[in-house]
Amino acid sequence: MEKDASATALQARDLIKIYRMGTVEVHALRGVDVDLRDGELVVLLGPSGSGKSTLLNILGGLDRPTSGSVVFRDRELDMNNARTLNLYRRNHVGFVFQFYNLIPSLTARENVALVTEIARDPMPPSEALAMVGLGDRLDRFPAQLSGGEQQRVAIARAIAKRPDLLLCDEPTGALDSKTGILVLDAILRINRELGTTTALITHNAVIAEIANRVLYFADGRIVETRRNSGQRAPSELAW
Amino acid sequence: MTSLDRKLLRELWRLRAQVLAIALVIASGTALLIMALTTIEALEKTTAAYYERTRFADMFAEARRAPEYLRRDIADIPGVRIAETRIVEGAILDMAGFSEPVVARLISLPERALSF
Repeated sequence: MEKDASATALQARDLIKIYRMGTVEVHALRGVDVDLRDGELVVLLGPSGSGKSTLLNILGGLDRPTSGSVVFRDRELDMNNARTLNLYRRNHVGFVFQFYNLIPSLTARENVALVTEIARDPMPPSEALAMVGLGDRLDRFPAQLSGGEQQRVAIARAIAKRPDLLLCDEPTGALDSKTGILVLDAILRINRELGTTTALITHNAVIAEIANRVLYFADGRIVETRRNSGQRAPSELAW
Repeated sequence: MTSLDRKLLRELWRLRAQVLAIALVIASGTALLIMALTTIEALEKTTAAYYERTRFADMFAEARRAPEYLRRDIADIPGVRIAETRIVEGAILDMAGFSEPVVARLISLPERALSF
C-alpha cells in the first residue's frame, strides 16, 4: 500500500527529551523528526533504552518534550497545557501497552465501555471486540481470558473511540509468538479497516515486516528509515 | 449504570467483610461522638438548672470600695437579674489544736433575703 500521497496526520520536529536525575542528565531523545501519514503503519524498531517509548509517549501526549514541537493535523499541540493534552489523548489517541491494564472486576465489554462512555463518536463495545476476534468473549472477565485475548481486549478498548492514532508500545512483548501473531492481526485489521494511523514499538525485527515503514532507533535518534515494498501478513511471520 | 458504577459495586461486594468492618468502626465512632456531645449538653443543662435552683451567681467581681449606689448601677445593666454586695475580708486565727495559724475568709450576709 502506497502511503506517501496521503496527508500527514502527525508531525514532530526536533524533539529533545532530557531526564534530569540530580546532577545526571539522560538524553532520551536527541533531536527526532518524524512524520506519520494518514492510515500508515509505522514500526519503531530499536534496542531497549534507545528512545522509542519516550517518543511514543510524547507523540501520544503522555509526556512533554524538553524542546521541539508536535503538530497534529496542522495544529501545533501546546505541550505545556494539560487540558489540551487531555483532550488530544481523549479524542484522537488510542494506546496499547505491553501490559494490558484491564480492570479485573469488569468484563471485556465493560472494560471497553469505560472508553465508549466518555468518547465523542464511539463504536459499540461489542463491535470493537468483534473486530479483534472476541465477539464471543464479551462477558468474560480478564481472569477468564488468555494473555493474547486480554491484549486484544486492550486493543478493542483503544480503538472503540475510533482514534486517529493508535500507539502500541510492545503489544506482543509479553506474549508467545502464536498469540503475538493474533494480536498483530488485530492491529493490522484495524489499521486497514478503520484507516487508523498506527505506530508500533518493538525490538523484534521480524515484526517490522508488517509495516509500511520502519524507523530504526539508536541512542535517542532515528538512524535509518526503511520503506517496505510490501506488507507481510502476521501469519507469515515466525520468531 | 456506568461501567465505573458496576466496578464500584462489584468491588464493594468482593470486599464486603472489610466494608462491613469499616462501617461498624465508623458507626461506633459516630455513636461515641453523639454520646459525648449528649453528655456535655446534659451536664451544661444540669449546671444551669443547679445555678438557677440555688441562685448561684454567674459572676463574681471584687472591688476595693463598692458603695450602695454602685450596686444599683450594676443591677440596672441589661441582662443582670440580681446584684448583691458582700464584704469579704481575710483573717488569721489562732485555733486550738492547730500549731500553724489558720487563714479565714470572712463573708458578710445580706441583712434580709432578696425577693425575686
